[in-house]
Amino acid sequence: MSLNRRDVLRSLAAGVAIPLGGSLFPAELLEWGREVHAAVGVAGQSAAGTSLSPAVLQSLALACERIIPTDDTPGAAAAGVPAFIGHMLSDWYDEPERTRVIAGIESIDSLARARHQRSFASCAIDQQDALLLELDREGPAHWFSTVKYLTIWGYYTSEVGVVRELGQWPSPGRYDGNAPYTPRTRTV
Amino acid sequence: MAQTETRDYDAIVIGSGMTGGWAAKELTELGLRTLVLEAGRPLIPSQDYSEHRPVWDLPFRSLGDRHYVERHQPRQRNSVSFDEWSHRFWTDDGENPYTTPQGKPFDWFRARQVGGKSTIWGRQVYRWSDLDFEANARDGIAVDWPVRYQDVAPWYDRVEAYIGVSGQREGLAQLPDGPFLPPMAMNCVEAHVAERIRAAFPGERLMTIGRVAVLTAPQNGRAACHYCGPCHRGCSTRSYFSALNATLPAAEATGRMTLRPYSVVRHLAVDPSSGKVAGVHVIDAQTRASHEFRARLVFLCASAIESSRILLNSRTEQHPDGLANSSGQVGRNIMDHIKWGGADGDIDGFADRRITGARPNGIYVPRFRNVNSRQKDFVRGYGFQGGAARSGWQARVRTPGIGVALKQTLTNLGPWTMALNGFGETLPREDNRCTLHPTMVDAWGIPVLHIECSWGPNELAIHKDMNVTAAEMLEKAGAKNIRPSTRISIPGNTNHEMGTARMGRDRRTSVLNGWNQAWDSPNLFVTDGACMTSSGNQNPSLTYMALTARACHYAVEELKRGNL
Repeated sequence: MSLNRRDVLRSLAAGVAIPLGGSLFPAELLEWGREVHAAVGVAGQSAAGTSLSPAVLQSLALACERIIPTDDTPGAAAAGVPAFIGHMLSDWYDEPERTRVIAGIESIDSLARARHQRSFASCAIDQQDALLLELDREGPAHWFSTVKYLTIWGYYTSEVGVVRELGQWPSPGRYDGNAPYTPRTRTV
Repeated sequence: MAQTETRDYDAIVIGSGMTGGWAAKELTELGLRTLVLEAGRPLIPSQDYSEHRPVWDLPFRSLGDRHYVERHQPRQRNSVSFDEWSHRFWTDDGENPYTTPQGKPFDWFRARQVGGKSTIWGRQVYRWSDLDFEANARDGIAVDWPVRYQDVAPWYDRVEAYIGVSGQREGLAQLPDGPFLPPMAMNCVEAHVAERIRAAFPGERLMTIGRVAVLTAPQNGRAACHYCGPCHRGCSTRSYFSALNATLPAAEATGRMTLRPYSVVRHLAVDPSSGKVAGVHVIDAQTRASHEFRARLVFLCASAIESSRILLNSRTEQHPDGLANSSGQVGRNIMDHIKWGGADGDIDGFADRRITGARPNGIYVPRFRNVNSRQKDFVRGYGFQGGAARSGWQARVRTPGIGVALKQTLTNLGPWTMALNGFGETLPREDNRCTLHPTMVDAWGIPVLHIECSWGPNELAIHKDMNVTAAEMLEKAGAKNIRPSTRISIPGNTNHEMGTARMGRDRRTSVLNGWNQAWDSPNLFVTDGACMTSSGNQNPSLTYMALTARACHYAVEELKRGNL
């Protein structure tokens, strides 16, 4: 898959004239970067996440969205985090970790049934949050820690995360080491 | 059988990177028809540069293709600029192996491609002074440099003017100024810390903006930097200096350069009567066919350790220890810079300030140890690089909890942290050396190297002192939670390896004379990091380039005089 993506990128990049002189303005370069990414992103999305069953994917998508929810910016689901996690589990982690994490996600439903006599998806939002916080308190060695880590990583490296949430793209084309800053306060 | 190329070249340059690019430019501009041999593939900027590729476009979102990297690049991955964008700028460790003794790791970073490691270098450039060129003589260590600052200074001028160096003139004797482009700006916290250091250590310690081979004004058709940040992934506006961005196009423009990629040099053949290099034997990386190329002049610029490997592999019955090695010094005296000493600390205040844009540069604290005073525990010294920044979400991925509160904690910037990272001089020691492996060969059947290198007591004392002085400066700057370093870099990891074919004044104790010319083989010049007699503490590429340009002009004069 990565070869295809790379080939697409190459052919796209080759089709865009990049003059070797200094005539290209940064804004145009950034636009070029966006065009390349936009076209490549389409090719890259379909394969990701295919290793997970629909049931696991549903629980995972719900959990991701509760970890990084939608408020005044989109949350993890809209950022494509479940597909990223599926891709990481299939192509990055080794078998033991993959099996452990998938079994963990599958177990969310049994935990929900034990606590609330219904599936995780059927639980109320505050019940879902309480279940996930219970898992979060298990600490860094627990399978949930991997899911949470990947949710955060996937979100803040997604287009939604970088552009909408962090406001870090496109690059301003200049350096200011003394720019004003106001932290965002959100309704919790 | 090797196929002998009958085409006539005046000069052959082995390597197309930092120094090979300079040799190609100088020799072709001086009128020589020059063949440049590059072991790796061509790089096409419009295809291979990826600095504007957004992180969400990467399959592993900057975490890297773990299984591929573990299989193919387990050593190369240790480089600070190795990432999911740039990893193809490093070699495959399986194709290009080397060995080290148990418990003595050495990081040998290699970049086989047109442009070599100049595509992925750190771009920091600092002149040496006579504090450095006289150091071995003063301390009675190894051998004396055959050159002094006044010999190299005009070549520093020439190289700096061409590559474009932004920096602040400081008037320091130990770190001479050059013809700088406008300096990059310090951020608000760096400016604050710099002022405190200047006040606390007047006339001794100074923090200036890094001197960096990145344009802050357009030059020779190269655009000024637009602060996108990751130079090591390439630069479509050619704003940072690399062979691919500047010297190779200049050589190409003369019409006298022939650039041959996929040309792995196996060995150099010597004419037994004159001692001169008679032919360069190449294995074509794609076809595996052998070729021999001939020229009156050969510049060996394959990178420090690779160049010594080629010399060692050029052994014959007459020269069983390798070419140009009557001194026995080829492969010895490996130096790097010891790093990861230093400290960081949090700086209060400035909560309403942030950085926008990515400056491909940091700050620099020039050497202050053993400059005007004498340390008891060590000779030589070190400089600090570093900078101030606010931490981002990556620093807080282990925050407990979920939901909007977590999102807010992750997204909002953390406190300012100021970091000072030392780069310390290392001493030449004969037993830090590379030798030919008795049995192992690379993917092209060429014997590989066994590298044995470790830090000595002087390096370790320097590293210890870095932690102390960095913490002192941070304390004076009002930093909180000052965290001295707990790690020492592996030799080679700084990617400043050098010294394996040193210059000197005596052919019995050195490989090259004061013009980078091999004592034993007068038409052979070695001008990459192998030539270095001591390591200084400054990032070394600028000095390699200056010595290369100087050697090229000398060699062409010698050719004209009929001496080669």
